[in-house]
Amino acid sequence: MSEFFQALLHYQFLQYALIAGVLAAIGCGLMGPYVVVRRIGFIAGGIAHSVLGGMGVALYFGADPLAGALVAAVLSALLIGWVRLHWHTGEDILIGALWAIGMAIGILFISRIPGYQADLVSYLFGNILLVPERELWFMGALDAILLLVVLVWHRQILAVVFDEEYARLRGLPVTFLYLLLLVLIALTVVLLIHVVGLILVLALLTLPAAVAGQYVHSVARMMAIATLLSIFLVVAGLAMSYGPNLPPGPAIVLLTGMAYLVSTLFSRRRR
Amino acid sequence: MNPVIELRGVGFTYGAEPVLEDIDLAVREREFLGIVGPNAGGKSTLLKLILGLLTPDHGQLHVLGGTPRATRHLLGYVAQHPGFSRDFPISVRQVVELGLLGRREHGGPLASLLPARLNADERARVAQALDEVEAGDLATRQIGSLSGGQLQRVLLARALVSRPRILLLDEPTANVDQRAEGEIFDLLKRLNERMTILVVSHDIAFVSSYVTRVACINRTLVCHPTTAIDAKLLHELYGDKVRMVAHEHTT
Repeated sequence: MSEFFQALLHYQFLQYALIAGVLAAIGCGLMGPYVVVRRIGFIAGGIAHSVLGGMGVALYFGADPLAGALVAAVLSALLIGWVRLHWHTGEDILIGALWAIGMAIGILFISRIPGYQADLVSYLFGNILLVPERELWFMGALDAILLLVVLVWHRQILAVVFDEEYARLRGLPVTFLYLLLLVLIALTVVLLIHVVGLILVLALLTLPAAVAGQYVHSVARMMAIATLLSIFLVVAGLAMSYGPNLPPGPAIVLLTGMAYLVSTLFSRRRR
Repeated sequence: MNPVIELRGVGFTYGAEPVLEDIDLAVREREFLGIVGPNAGGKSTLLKLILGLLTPDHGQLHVLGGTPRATRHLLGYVAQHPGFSRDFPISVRQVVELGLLGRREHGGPLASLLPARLNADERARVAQALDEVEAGDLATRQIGSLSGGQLQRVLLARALVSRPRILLLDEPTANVDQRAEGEIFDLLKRLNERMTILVVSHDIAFVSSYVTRVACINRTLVCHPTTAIDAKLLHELYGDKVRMVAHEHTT
């Protein structure tokens, strides 16, 4: 691991990877607790996987794949949110369908582009070592949006996440706030694409927040702990994968999964 | 005096199944109305229509002179089945604080999206609401650690903190023991001195000793003064033999 920190001083791509990891971890820490306490991991998974459709279409037409990911994530969040609020039966099947259709569209479009097969793997499993500088600015801007919305509307979002019917009775714009939450989760998914890829997004989005929830008892505190834990796990996973030249995304997710399992065993014994 | 709640010819259907038919009801200010009837008789549906959570298929419904949706922020509500998970990481104080959110007396729906930091007055209101339901000592407890009776008190505090003009409760004592049931109804009786209360209950004999009028619902509605509740009426309402147990209260 010391090899990583020595290399960090000399190689710009590692410095960028570290910054990208920290920026993605901030998004996870802020949004993960909402996903965990509202139990919408499946919805977040649907949004994450449908993003590949947007990336594939963007690549095919020569546009920025991250822009395609952003558009697809937001559209799928709004669609899934609308279904969840208005289509009270069969919503899980529809979310599953969007999940599969998004991936199928992405793979079909990417398959038509010669020489892009390697990119497909990096979108699916992430490649934090290839983050260019301009995308760090993009990730920073997404984090700023997430932080600003949470600072201004945390209590209103909490009211909807806690008890949707009562929030509606109090005259809160529940539909707007719920869709806003899903759009914020969509932005977080886009933040995480480079770090762990689409397939593994769900682990980093939910597990640090779930660990935090085993030790603190408010959503705001969960955010603080989950952010710090996510930063630690991303940096540690990156450092551990550097020496043996392993892909960083799966290493980060494996470490996150182990942290969750150990914490769950520890917290059960504590009770 | 105009009624605070008025239903004329209201009907509601779930799918093809009529739940309420031709309901006429006028509730006066400071009335304490008990709503009783058999399971699936339409009691909870009636409350949800008044709250604007459901829309009637027929008839007219006015609450505080407006439509239910326009005036529901002036109502307090305690649901039979709370819409949250008991393991949600939230303290009692936070739950009651969330009752302050939403539409204000002044300002439209967008006012509820203004940044919502609590000021000293609002913090005092939260403490006052918890004290009023005798749950001040529970403020720092997690919602999941409360007993059934304690949870009902906290949900009542959440409803009271917005200073509602009408309080609606759906089976508030369904999951509490008999002692806690009496304490909750004693509390409602005190609250009735300053607000209108509608309470759905399965326990007709118990409720009738507290409320000023009983609305019996089994798809249609008939109102009775509390003194008129007898075995014959219960038989008509439930359509079967019903054992009536009279509760005596010293309050």
